Order: sequence, then C-alpha cells, then structure tokens
Amino acid sequence: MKPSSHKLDVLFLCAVLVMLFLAGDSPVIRTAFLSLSGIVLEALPFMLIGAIAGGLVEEYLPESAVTKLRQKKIKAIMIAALAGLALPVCECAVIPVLYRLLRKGIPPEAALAYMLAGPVVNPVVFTSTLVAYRFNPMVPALRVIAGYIIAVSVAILVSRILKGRIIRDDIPNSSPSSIKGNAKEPGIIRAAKHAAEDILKAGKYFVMGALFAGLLQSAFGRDVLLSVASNPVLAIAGMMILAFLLSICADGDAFVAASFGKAFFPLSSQLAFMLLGPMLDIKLLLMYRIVFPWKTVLVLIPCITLTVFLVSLLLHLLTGAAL
Amino acid sequence: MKRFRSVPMMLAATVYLCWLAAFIWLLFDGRYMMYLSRKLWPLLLLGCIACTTLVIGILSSNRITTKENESREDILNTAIMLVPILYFLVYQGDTLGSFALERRVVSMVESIECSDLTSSDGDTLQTDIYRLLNDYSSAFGRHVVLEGALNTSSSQPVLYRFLIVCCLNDAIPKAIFFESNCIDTLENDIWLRLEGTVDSLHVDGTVYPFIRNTDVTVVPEPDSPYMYP
Repeated sequence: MKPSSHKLDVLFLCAVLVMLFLAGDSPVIRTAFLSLSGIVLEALPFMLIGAIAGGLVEEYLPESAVTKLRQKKIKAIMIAALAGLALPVCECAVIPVLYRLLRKGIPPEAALAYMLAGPVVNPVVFTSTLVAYRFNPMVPALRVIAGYIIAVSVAILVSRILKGRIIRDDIPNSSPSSIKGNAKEPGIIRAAKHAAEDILKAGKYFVMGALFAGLLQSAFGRDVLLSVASNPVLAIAGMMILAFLLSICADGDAFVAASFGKAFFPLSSQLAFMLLGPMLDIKLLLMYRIVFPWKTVLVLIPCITLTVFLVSLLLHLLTGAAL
Repeated sequence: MKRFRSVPMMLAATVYLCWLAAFIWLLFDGRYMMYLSRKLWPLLLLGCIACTTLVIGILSSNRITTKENESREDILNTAIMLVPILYFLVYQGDTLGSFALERRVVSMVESIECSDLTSSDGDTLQTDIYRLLNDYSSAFGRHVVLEGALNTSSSQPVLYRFLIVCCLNDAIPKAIFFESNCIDTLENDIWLRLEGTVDSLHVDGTVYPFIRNTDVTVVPEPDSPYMYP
C-alpha cells in the first residue's frame, strides 16, 4: 500500500490533540469522538479478520484460481457480486481482502463488484434490515436485489469508462512489501505479517474517516431534512447525502433509516440511504485510495451516486405510495 | 551475524498489543456497552483473538540481518491507530446527551397511531422508553415507571434515552413527552425517574405518546445509560 502524504497525517494528529485537550468541553467534539469510538470498536475486529483473511489469500491462494476469472469479465463481475453471501463482512473489512485479491491478479472489475455488493448482498445485512423493518421481508429483499443490480452496473460502467485501468499501478504483483522476512518462514507467519502491515496502513484512513464522519454527524442536525421530505426526488437526494456524511456500518444502518419513519420520508428514500451508505461514505472514500487512484475514485463517486438515485427513483415510481 | 527485529513490525506489534489490552479492558469491565450494543461482545473477543494472532505472528518471525531505520510513516500510522485508545483513556464514562439528541432527531417525539388505543389495567409497568413505545397500545392507561434524561428544548418536557443498535454512531434517541410542573429548576440531561399514567397528547391532529400525572424523582445516571434492542 502506497505511503500517503505525511503532512496530512501530522495535521490530523495535531488536530486530534487540540480537540481532545484544548476543545474537549465542546459538545460537538465530544459527540464526534463518541461516534468515532463506536465506529472503531465495531469495525476494527472485522478489519483485523479481513486483514488476516487477506494475508492468507496472499500466501495460500494459487494464482491459477484467479486466472479463469480473467477470461470472462462479465461473468466474473456477476459471481463476485454474490461473494458476500459466503463471506458476510462489512464494508471496512472488504478493503484489506480486496487489496490482497488484487495483488493475486483478480480482475479489477470483479474486485470492484465484490467491494460494492459485499456489504449489502449478505445474510447479516438482510437479517438486520428485516428486524429494523419489523419483519417486513419486502424491504430487505428490495435492498439486496437493488444492491446487487447497482454493484454489477457500476462495476461494468466504471470498467468501460476507464477501459479496465481501475486500480493503482503499484498494486498488481509489484508492490514491494515492507516486510523483511525470510522465505524459510512458515506461510502462516508470513500471512500474519502481511495482515499486520495492511491493517496499520488501512487503519489510518479508517480512523481519519471515522472522526470526520463523527464531526459531520455532530455538526448537522437531521431535522433540516424535514423540509425536503415531502418531495420524493429531494427526499432521496437528502437521504443519500446523509448516508454519505454519517458513515454508518451496513449492519446497523437499517435501524437509522427506519427511524426516519414512513410518515416523514418515503421508503424509497430510506432504501436510497441503505443502498448508498455501504458503497460510498466519508471513511470509505479515504479507504478506497488504498486500492484505487484518484481518477477511479472520481469516476466511482458519480457512477454510484447516479445509479443509486435512479434505482431508488424507479422503485418509487413503480410502487408509488406502497413504497 | 547480528540479527535485529524489523522496526515497522515492532511498531505494528505495539499497536496490536495496545488494542488487545483495550479490548480486554472494555470487555471484562463491561465498559464496551458504553460504545457498542450489549449483544456485540463476541466482536471484542474476535478482536482479542485477531490481535493475539498478529502479535504472535510478528514475534515468531525471523529477525533480519540489516538494521532498519523506522520510517516517519510507520510512526505516524502507529500514532493514528492509537487515537481511539487515547480517547477511551481521557474521557472515560462520557455519554451522548441533549446535544446529540437534538442533532439526531427528525422530530423530538415520534407520533403514534391512535385508532386502537384502549385503556388497560394491570400492575405498575417497570419498563424502558424503547419497549414502551414499541408496545404502546398494550401499555395505554397503565401506571408506568420509566427512567431517562430530561430535555426541555421543545414546548413539552421530554424524557429520552438512546437506543444502541450496533454502536454509538447509529444510536437513535427515543423520547416521550411527560406532564410535570416541578422541573423548571432542572437542567437538561439530569436523570429522572417518572411514575405516571400512559396516555396520549393531541397536537394539531397528531397523536404523541405522553405520561400524565407524573411523579418526578431525580436519580443518578445509571451505569448503563443506553437501551439495547
């Protein structure tokens, strides 16, 4: 993983120290740090497991296993978007696995599809959405199906726009690991070292993004959205902006979406919130830089946003008041 | 030939050891419930296992023959990963309050359907705001005891508490209006025990849950101030 600018890191650490020790009485700061602590405690164990899985991929996944995937790109995208069913991890845990899969040579389009669909198309998210919506199966079913369609569409779209040049140039089989080890070491030890290295670098972006999301959540009240709730187009757009700013884990976002109430916000706007959040939010935006160059991130943002918006609007138009 | 430990790897080991200690502290002290849902304790156990695995992996690895200088990036990454632990240590026991309540609500108290509200009798109901609101119709008319924090920013005072579904970032405030004429001197976020009758409040054609004829007692903030589904 490529080193980032040190200035940004130093600036971040200085800001943290000022916030904690000089502005610690501010409710904005304290609420932001409470959000940060919740996000990190919930997601870090998943990230650690994700990194260990990534390390095992690096050491044990034979390259021949991914060679077949390179030949049939569309098929690979469609299969990869279903991988979350077998490996139900949240969006933060996906990145370290993705990094190592890309180094192994998995097609970038397929990796992108897995990254976008994995946190939505999985049984844990289905169950949490089912519980949040009082066991109405229509909502989780719509979420999973729409999430799959969006992930596959965006992966194909981004691949076409960028002509396959999706990931950072320094990733595939060329990124020199900072691990100084001995080839005679057991594979499991090398896998743990890969994981240890990955977490330290991905974790930095994760902590930064989580604090930024906490600050934004503290700074803006959700009641401002009430003014746009009556217009479905604005409600969908407003809920998508909120999902981007809040950076809530896919496992718990359904409860927040449901708390907006059908009386205020149409269900299509709540679905837009639940579809966009796991694919694009502040902390993810920073973490995406680990595997994608800025050019890809800049193409991803409008592709994901527009696709989620159009799918949510289509759901609203097709089902009308029922949704 | 003299052999050395890799400096980046030792810094990584420091991070995982610190997180291992934090996970153990939060888990065995029960303090994790201030940040996470009660049901998510296995996550911290998973974190402990993962950190231990990584530390063992690093310490079991062979030493290198050429001494490395620690890079600035490694030190900065280590420091950033320890920021949340610094917060846990500096602000132990910090909780979400009225500020977060006002930021996180769309409307202070959620309205209720009033078509099937019929008074029911029974013993005093000792419950929490989340469970009361979830099953409001069966509690309607009953005598109830509730605990929560006070907020007086709306026209009617509310008793509120946060519901943690997964973590504090998704904590949702649950609030209920109550009737009292003895809270004028009390400040926001003071913890109260209410005893009163479950009723409804009609405002501009909308029906809200309401506690009438309330006895109010100031109580200390409980060890576990949040609610969990």
